[in-house]
Amino acid sequence: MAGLLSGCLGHFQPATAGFEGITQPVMLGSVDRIGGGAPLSFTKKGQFEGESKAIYSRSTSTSGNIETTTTRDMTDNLQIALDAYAALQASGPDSEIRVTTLRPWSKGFMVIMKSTVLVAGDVVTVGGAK
Amino acid sequence: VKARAALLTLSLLVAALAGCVGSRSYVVADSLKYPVSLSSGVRGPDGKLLAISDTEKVGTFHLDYTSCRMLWTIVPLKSGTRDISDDVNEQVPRKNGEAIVNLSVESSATAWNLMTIIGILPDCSKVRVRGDIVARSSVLEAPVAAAEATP
Repeated sequence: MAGLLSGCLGHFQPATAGFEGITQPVMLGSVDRIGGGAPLSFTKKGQFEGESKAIYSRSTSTSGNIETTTTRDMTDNLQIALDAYAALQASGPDSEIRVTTLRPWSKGFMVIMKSTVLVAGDVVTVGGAK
Repeated sequence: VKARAALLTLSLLVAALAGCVGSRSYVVADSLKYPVSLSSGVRGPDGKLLAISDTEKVGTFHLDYTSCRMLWTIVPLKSGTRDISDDVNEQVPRKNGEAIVNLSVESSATAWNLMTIIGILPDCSKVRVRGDIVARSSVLEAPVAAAEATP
C-alpha cells in the first residue's frame, strides 16, 4: 500500500475530457449562443456517449533473489474527441452536441487506479434563431 | 456464522469489483448566463456558428474541487453534483467575455481512492475544470475604434 501510495500517485495521469479544435459546439447548459435569448429550434438526430480514461496498475513479484515490479500506465483522452467529431460530421454542418451528463470519476482498488470522465448527450441539428 | 461472514466478504468484493468504489460527481450548469462549449465552437447572437478567428481569448476559466463519497458511492459527502453556473457567471463578465469555449474536465485520483478499503471509508477525487473565456473580436474592437474616431 505504501509503495503504491508513494509510487502510483506520483505518476498517475488524470483523465481529461475536452474537444478543443472541433469547430461545432459541444454545449453544456441551456444557453445555446452568445447573448442568450429564446432557445434556437433544433431536431434531435441521435445520441453521443464517450469516456476518457486513465489507468495505472503496479504489481510486484519475487522469484528467488529477483524482485520484479511491473507497472502499466494507459491514458486515452483522444478517442472521445474522435467519436464526438465523427458523430458531428455524420449529422451535418449545423449539428452540435448538447451535453446531458458530465461525470468525472476516480477509483482505486488494491493495486489499480482508474480515472474516467464520461460525456453523454444529444446530437442535434440547429435551426435559426427564433 | 462463518458462512455469513464469507458471504458478506464476497458481497463487498463483488460491489467493489462491479465499480461501486471511488468518487464520482456530476458537473452541471443549470443557471448559466453565458454559453459554455467543450469544443472550440460557439454560436453568435444570430445562431450562426462563429469561426474560431471571430473570437479572441480574454481570460481563462478555472475551477477546482474535490468530490467525496463513501459506502460504495451511495453516500455523497461533498460535491456529489457540482453546478458551475455561479463560477461561470462570475468569471466571464470579470474578463469582459461573452462565452467559454474549450472547456475541459479532468479527473484525478487521491490517496483516498486507495485508503477507502473496498469502498467503505470516504473516497475522494480531484476535479479540475478549465476553459477559455472568449469575446467576439468585433465587440472587442468596437471601443477601440470609437476611441480612435473621437477627436
